[in-house]
Amino acid sequence: MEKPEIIRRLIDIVGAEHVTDREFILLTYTRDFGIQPPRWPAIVVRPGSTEEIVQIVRLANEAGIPISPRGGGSAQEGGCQSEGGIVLETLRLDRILNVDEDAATVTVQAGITFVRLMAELERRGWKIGIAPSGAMAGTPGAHVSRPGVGWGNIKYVSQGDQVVSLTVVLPNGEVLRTGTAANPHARPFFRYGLGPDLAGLFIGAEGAFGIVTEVTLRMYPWPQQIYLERYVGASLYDAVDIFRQIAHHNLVCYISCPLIEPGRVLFDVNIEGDRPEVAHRLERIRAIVRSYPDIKFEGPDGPQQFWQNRWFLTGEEFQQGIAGAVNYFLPFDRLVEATSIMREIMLRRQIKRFAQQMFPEPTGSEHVNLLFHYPGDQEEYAKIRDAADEMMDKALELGGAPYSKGRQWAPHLERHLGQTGYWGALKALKRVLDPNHIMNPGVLGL
Amino acid sequence: MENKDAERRQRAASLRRYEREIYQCTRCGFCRVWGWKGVGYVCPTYPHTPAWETEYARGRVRLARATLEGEIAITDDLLRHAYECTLCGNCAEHCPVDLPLTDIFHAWREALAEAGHIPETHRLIAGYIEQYGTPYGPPPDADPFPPHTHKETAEILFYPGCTNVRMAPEEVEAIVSIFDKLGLDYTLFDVESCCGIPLYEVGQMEGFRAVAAKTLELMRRRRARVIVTSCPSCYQAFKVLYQAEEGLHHDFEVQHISEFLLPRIKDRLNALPARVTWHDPCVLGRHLGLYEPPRDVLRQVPALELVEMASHHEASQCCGAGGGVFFTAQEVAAATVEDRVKQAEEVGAQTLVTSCPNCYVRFRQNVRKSRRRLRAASLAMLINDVLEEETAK
Repeated sequence: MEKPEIIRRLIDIVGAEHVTDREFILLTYTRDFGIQPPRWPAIVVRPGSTEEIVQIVRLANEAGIPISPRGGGSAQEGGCQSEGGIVLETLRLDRILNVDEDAATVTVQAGITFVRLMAELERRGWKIGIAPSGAMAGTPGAHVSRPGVGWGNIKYVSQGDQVVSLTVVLPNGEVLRTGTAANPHARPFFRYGLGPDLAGLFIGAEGAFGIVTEVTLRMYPWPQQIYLERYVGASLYDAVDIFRQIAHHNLVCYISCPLIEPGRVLFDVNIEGDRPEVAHRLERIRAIVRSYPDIKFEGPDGPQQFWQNRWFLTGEEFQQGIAGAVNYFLPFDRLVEATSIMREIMLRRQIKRFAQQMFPEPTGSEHVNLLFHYPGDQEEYAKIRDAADEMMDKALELGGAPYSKGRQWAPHLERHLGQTGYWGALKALKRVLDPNHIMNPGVLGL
Repeated sequence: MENKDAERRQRAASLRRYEREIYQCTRCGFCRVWGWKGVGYVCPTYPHTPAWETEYARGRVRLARATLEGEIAITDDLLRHAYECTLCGNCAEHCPVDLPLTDIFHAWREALAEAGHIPETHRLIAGYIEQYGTPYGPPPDADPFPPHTHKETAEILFYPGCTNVRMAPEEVEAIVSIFDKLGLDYTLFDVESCCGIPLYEVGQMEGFRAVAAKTLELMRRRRARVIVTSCPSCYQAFKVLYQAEEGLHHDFEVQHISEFLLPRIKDRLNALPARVTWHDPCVLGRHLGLYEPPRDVLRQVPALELVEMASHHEASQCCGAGGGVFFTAQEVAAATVEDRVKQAEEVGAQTLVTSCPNCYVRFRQNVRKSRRRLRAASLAMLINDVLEEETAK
């Protein structure tokens, strides 16, 4: 099918003002928030409902044109790019569909931004467990597809763990509801039951197996108290020891370690609950930290101020430029070594500006390396691309697992996992579910 | 090919000043929507457009970069997206990497205009200004200025601004009345000679400089010491933009009507038992930092209850008329003003007060058309209503 005909059919589905192939608009959909090279889509479409997405997916199969879903465009690994296909932007799907105070769940459309969702829930006395640091632009549909970490990593683990139900448009255009909502008579209140947990197929899959159009997340009563305090020390070994103990005892909502430099590590702990609970947890945390005399208490003022403006301030670290992100999960006992190895690579490759960070999980930690440059500095960009490639390979060799994969990690995943049963099964599932290979091809290496 | 290269160089000239900043946009997307701390949509017009990436700051910065690099063809459609921006500055206020977005977007317009990419409406406006001294076209049959205000020289020059003269004569009458009540030695600038801002806003800098020079010369003839205006754009022109241009420097003291009135109305105001909210015009507030003088004027009115809307001061929401949007995208402007009027209603205000002819006219049109109970007023109109006549000394 030729492009004019595809556009005509898309206009029939979503209306003329929500379809474009105008060059100057396409340009602004060629990249995300990261360093992947630009990829030009042929068409951008902005559907307003699951039903419209069903029709678009059916058309894509008929026309043999690929579709890449895109939320706020604020991921860093190129997962929402499309080379010659359709970018399907979900931002018109921006409604809260149901706040179920009986089951403590909230059902939203995929394209609402997190800050809007959280502000509305806070008004009603509720919160969700996990929010990405880019919550101002990020959307739930995209976040669960990465699979979604952020503020709340220790207590609530990941966005994937918060999912009760997903509504997904499959590559053949069928609509799948997971969890109890698979029963046409039931609402989404429990993730499991009826059969296998199919939500897991789409969490972290970055649109390879379907387009998430609705998400039901757990929600929690707004805590009586949210308290933060900061620690600074010289030893990363000590800090990771502390993270491990705090995580194992599940004492905090999250630990944020945004600054790791030789001889200096800074971390904040965020504790939530009713007042006696917070006091008790704080006492236990301080007892753990006291065992490490090198780690100094910095007080609550800095992190409390950060917390008040958190959604804005997370953007400030990018004053150093666009970040090539090499983010992956590692067990606690590999974190110090990985920090050192990655630092060595970045220094050897003469990266001008970079940052290393950790955001611990209950069983390990997200390990973040950000390599900054300003667009237009082609020399630095080339160095960063090369360094990131080496770092991704090294992360997988160290036993790491990438957080958001997009197109950035695709060749590395294939190289390291290609002979495994996991990779074979993924490929087989892709063939079965997406025989025309139209659903975000290339992402994850699929 | 040579022509194309020449055009690229031409486009680049104005934007090159902001090249570093343009490349510093990290594409975080925080300039689209907040829904937090009283900030809804960061870009006031975005929700009233088809909402492509190019219809808020992140995409516009990318287009400015593409213009700089000569990367894409400049089409009428692209120009439409460029001029849906009100230059309100709210995106710059909420940018985590502190990009001077308003300056970038203005320089972008300048670059587009320099390269000859000018929407038809903007050409029309420029023609009117050149021919009639005002963007509003041929003059009305009747003299729009009160007869007793024609005076050759005076200590104070009241510059009403072309939008007030043509669109809000009640504002001109109110200020004249206030000045009369205060017994001031003033002259009204009773010729239609534009300050140049409409051309400045759409990037036509050559035209701006030409009309500014003409207007400045006419103002100098009045031999005034102080220029007073209630139009933030005229105020910005005289106070900031002229002084930044070689050949337009002047020695006038320039005061916004709020600054001017503040020390002169103490204990001279009758009570007004009303719930009133103040709308910060973007140019007066975010661009020039004048947030408190108008509020302080309102606080002097006995019994008046001043309440703030959900977004105010630095985070104030634009009325939708700025940046020339009301010339090129009237439906967008009309939809945007509705958002702001609703904010006033949400805090239970009886009167929505501002001091900008663009904002005031849009509010007035909206409340009349929608038959709202809310009243739209300018600061001067409200003060004139409660200001006592001058008593014998």
